[in-house]
Amino acid sequence: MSNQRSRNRKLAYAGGIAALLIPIVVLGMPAGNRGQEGFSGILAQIRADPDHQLGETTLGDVDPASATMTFVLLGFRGLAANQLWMQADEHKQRKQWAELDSTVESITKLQPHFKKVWEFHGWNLAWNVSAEWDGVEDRYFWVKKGGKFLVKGTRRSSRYPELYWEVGRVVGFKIGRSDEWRQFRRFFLSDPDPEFNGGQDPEIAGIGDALARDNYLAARHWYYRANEQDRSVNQRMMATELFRSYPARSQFDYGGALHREGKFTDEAQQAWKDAEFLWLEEFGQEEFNSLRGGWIVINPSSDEQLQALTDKDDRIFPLEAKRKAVESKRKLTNFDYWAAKASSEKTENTKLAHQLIYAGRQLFHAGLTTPTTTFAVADADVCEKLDELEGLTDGQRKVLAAACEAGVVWYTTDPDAPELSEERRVKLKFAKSKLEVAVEADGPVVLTGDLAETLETTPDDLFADLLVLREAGHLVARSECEVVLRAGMVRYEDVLKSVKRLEEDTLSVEEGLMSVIYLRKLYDQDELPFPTEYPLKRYWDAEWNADALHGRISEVERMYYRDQPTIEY
Amino acid sequence: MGFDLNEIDYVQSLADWGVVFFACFSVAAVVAFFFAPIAGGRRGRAKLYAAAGSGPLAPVNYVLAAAGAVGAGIWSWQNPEAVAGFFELILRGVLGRAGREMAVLFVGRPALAGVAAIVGAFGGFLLLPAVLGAVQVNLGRIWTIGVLTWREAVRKRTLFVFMVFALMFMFAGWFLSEPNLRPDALVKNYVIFVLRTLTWLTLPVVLLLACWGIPDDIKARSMHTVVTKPVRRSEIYLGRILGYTFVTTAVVVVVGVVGYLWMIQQVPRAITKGEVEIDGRNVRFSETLDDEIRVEIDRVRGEPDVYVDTAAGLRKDQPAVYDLYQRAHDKFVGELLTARAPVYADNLSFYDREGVPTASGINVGDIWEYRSYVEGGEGSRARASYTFENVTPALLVDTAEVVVDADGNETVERVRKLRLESSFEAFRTFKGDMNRGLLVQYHFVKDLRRQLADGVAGVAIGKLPARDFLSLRRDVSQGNFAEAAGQLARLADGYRSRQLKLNDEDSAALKRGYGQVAELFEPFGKAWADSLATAARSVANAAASKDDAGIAEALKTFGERFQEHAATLEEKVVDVDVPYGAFAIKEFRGNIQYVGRTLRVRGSTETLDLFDDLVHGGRLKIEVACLDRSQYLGMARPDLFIRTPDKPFAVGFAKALLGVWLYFVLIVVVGVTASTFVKGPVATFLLVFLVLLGNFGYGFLQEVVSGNLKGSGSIESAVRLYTHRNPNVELDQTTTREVIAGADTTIKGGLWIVSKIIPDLEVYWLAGWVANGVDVNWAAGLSYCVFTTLAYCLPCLLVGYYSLRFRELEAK
Repeated sequence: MSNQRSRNRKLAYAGGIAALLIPIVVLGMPAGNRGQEGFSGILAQIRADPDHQLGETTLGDVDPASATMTFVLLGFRGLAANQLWMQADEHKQRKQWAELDSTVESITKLQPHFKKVWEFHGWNLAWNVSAEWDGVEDRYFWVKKGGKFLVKGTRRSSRYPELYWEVGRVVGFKIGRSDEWRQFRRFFLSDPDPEFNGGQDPEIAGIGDALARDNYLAARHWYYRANEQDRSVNQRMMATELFRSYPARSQFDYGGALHREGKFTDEAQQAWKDAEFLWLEEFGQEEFNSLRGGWIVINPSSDEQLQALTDKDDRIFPLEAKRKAVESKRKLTNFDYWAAKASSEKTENTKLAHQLIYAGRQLFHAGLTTPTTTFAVADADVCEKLDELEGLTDGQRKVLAAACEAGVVWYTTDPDAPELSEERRVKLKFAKSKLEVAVEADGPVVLTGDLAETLETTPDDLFADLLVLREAGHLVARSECEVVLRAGMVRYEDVLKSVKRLEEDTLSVEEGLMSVIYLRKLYDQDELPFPTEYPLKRYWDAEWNADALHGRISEVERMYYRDQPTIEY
Repeated sequence: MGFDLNEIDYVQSLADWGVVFFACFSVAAVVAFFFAPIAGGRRGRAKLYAAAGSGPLAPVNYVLAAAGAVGAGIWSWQNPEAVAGFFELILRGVLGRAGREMAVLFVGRPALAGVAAIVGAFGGFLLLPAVLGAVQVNLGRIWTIGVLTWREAVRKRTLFVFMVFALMFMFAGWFLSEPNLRPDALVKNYVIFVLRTLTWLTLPVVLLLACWGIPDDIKARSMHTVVTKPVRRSEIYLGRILGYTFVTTAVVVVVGVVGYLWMIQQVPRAITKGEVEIDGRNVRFSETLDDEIRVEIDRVRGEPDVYVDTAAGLRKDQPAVYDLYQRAHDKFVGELLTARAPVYADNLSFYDREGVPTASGINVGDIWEYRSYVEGGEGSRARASYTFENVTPALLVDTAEVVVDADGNETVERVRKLRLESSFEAFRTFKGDMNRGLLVQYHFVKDLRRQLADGVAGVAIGKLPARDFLSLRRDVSQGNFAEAAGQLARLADGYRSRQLKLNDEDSAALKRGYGQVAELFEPFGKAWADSLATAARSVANAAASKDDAGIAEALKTFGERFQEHAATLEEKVVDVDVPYGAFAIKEFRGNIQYVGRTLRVRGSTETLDLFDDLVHGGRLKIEVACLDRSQYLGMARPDLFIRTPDKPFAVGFAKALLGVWLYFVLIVVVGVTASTFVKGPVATFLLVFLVLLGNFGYGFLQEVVSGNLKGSGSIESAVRLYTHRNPNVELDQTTTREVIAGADTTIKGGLWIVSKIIPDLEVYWLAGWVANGVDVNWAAGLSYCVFTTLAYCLPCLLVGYYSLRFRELEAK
């Protein structure tokens, strides 16, 4: 009796098991070969469905090691991953970098499609771990490591636009904007690792089959890829319009970086022209689906263009709604500012202003800061009362007027000029090597020769006039540094005044404030009272009076200290 | 390096363990005495007591019982918290608030100590018969059973585990040779991979074998046949352990050797770039992306020579460079796969920015408080001071040096030098010069005068100096020895006339200080120094016995010797500080400096010999300073060491394997022991728990027991969770709370016992040493493994023996 009951019970269990197996088979059977879809389970079918895209291969490259590990761990993948995350943190705290590296590698093997793993550890390696190292080469190694980790992430989990964007951030922002940006950007072109034999690291600099010639161009490439992916799977980190603007933004950074490095070349001007095109024509013409205005473009060429887009959203949104949406998106992306910035930066005048300020700073760093007879500027008071001055010939008056306008009249970068002392000559030669781009590309700023041509006089006459004006105290002897700096500041003020949008921009104004700080430091060095009138004064005053902490001045002052070279020549 | 050399108090933890073991044994003895007749195990247990109470050893047993009683009484008097909570809890639970008073009254220390003494007496009484019973075994029979066990394990296809290893080694190279890794990290990965797979793949095999052997025998009734043979049960038990140890040894040796061969074959292939010194020149080599070889050879002056070509091209066109490349590659691999034999400093202390000695440097906010930092720059006198003991010329290593003669010809000379390797860490407060690492400078210091000055006044870090002796210190440090002698005479007079009196601090300071003074003079080995050492020693002795008259006399003698040898002291007892070079640190890798025997004194042509002039009594002091203003340099004791000639990698690796083997022996012993009193599945469960806790939870457990962990006991935490009160909110002082606190104390007491029973299995993980290219140190590494295994073997053998002896085989 009891035997029979036991058998019955066992049979019931077997039946139950079989019954439960049926749904498992139906649901979970793996996909068969192509053309045999009838044999695959429901889950497998859903995975393969183009709308869901959940299959391993559709999520990214399949790594056999990763698949094996997940399989071997049965259901304990989560536990193991958790343990590894804790270990990774422990390794970081104990500065066991090799262990950290392999632990992170293991985590990605377990969770290859978990976006956060890639995002977090890529960032951790590029920002935190790199900062722990003292050597700049080592830091660069770890920044690259973070970048490469994210690149790998884009391969294993190819569907997340965020990961492509993160690569762009490391390659562009981290390399181009760190404290060590000068070295990092140099390393980008010539990697310190002997493996690359003085060339570029293709894993970081590679864009398709080619190598990017600048980190920001490489970043632009990754932002493009992010956008491409974003069109199929929406990213969730920021507004779509902002996300899509990054290729153009990277192009802005590229132009800006060239200027920051003192490369005022045709390439830099072309970079800004390209940036303007990308911003206005490419990004500005991209169609976005807005909440309150349906399909729009941010920079519509005409109402007709917007009108045409109403067809796309079945005429739900009237033209007025579209206009409002465009306005709001322009504000969101600060579209008009960047447009104005690009159109200003590409001009010769803006370039010259940047170039002069940059040159002035270099001269300051080179120590060419004491007044000399070779350089002169018009006294500010004199310029104001130009017409009231007496005892000047018409020629001299013209020279003075030109001087007031240019900010500088007499400038040489010839280290062999006879009036120079030996010490100055050495310094000037040094400075000249630094000013190579600034000076040689476009020639000296305002040569007496140029002035002579402008004023239709001969250089000899002009020279005689200048001597008289200096004797009379209308032209004041200044250092090379001040002369160049002031010339730049005068031009920069014009740039800011002419493009109102730039006046609202922190970075643009900060460059002006920085030049004022350099000018002030010049006077401080010689213990001279700082003049009451000077170029860019209105921007300085506006900041100074902005609040009790004098606005951004203290921040810019900190930047000034960071700008000082640490190696004495 | 990633391992910590700060030694734990090992003897203390062994003693703790002994206490726990004795307590368990004693409780078992009590249980056996009172409850054995009821439980049915009458004969054996009653016999045991009868045997202990008569015969030739009976008097010894009574003495041991008394000793056990006294020992247990004293111990529980000193450590009441572990057991007292339990009694308190019962009383409070029954009687409420009044119970607390009663608990204090009845379950105070005396009552507790009394109970412990009684229990201890039982344990002491039975200890000797138990040990003697266990050692009466026949080695031949154990061997036979061991061999049979091995055969059985082989029959069970245990050795199939080798197949798994074979597979792992075949394919692991694919995943380990990550090209983006630094070479040292690569080697680390290989070493850790071999040792980790060996440990974690063999562990389940060993664990299951050990836990299932005896239970299977009992279940299959093969044990019944064996016990009828002339063989003791203890021999079966020991034979089992021996057999499984054979299996373990076979696996460890075979996999270890294969793994070693695999590594020395794989690593050279995986290393594609490196930097190494060949004949006094730095050579950098790397395989480039275009599969070419780039070799950079440093010159004494000027830019390095660079050669880039394919391997075949280089061999054909530049055979000398190719040869150099191959030598560099081999040497570089050799330096990674090595067992450095470091001589670590015995002491690390610090000076702050004013030059005042401190126990530690500055904390710059690292979460890992491993390194202490010193401030750099001219304005700072901060330094870290490493003291090496027993420094002799035997520590020097052979080096090559390029010498350029007047005609510019370069020749290589062989010189013996002191190899100092460091791995300091930089902390920058501002960007500074980013193109180079922080500058470090070593100072070779012989500060005899400073030591003498500190010694005569009893000055030491963190201790109070002797009052009234500080002006003596000033005189000595300024070299006014004649005046110092006068000071000593005045102090002697003061003590004689009772104007001065020794208090506790003074006596401790003088004892310590004059002991150091005596040690300072002894290494001179001259008559004058010996007389001073003897005089200093008598001051120290007088200070120790707090004898004012004695110290007056001793100080007087010491002062007279001082007076007598003032000139000699001035000449011989001097402070010497020889700064040596300066180098930019490279973080997280070894920075090697070779220091020649002859050192030049800065600003003069005078030279000093490292051993004759700077080492005093075998002691070498190296002070480390940072040269960059307001930047900080972080140091820990293992960060600077004298690197003596390296040992072969195989030596270090073999020691790490020995660690793994000892780990498995422990598992076998504990597993077989567990299987003598519980069934296979339960023993397995017990062992898995032990392994998990010992490997991953030991540190946490210790932290909980130490009471340093933020938060309270488990019950209180549960209450806080339920009532939403964080640990910073005080709970109301109610009876309930007291009961909870009592319960938590009990739990913690129980946990304390558990924490002493669970072994720290992390000590067996010696891979860190080998992976970092360091030979496994006996004192800080291997000894922990040996002693832990031994410490568990002995009690386990006793427990296993008795469990099996009294086990009812039919009670499956």
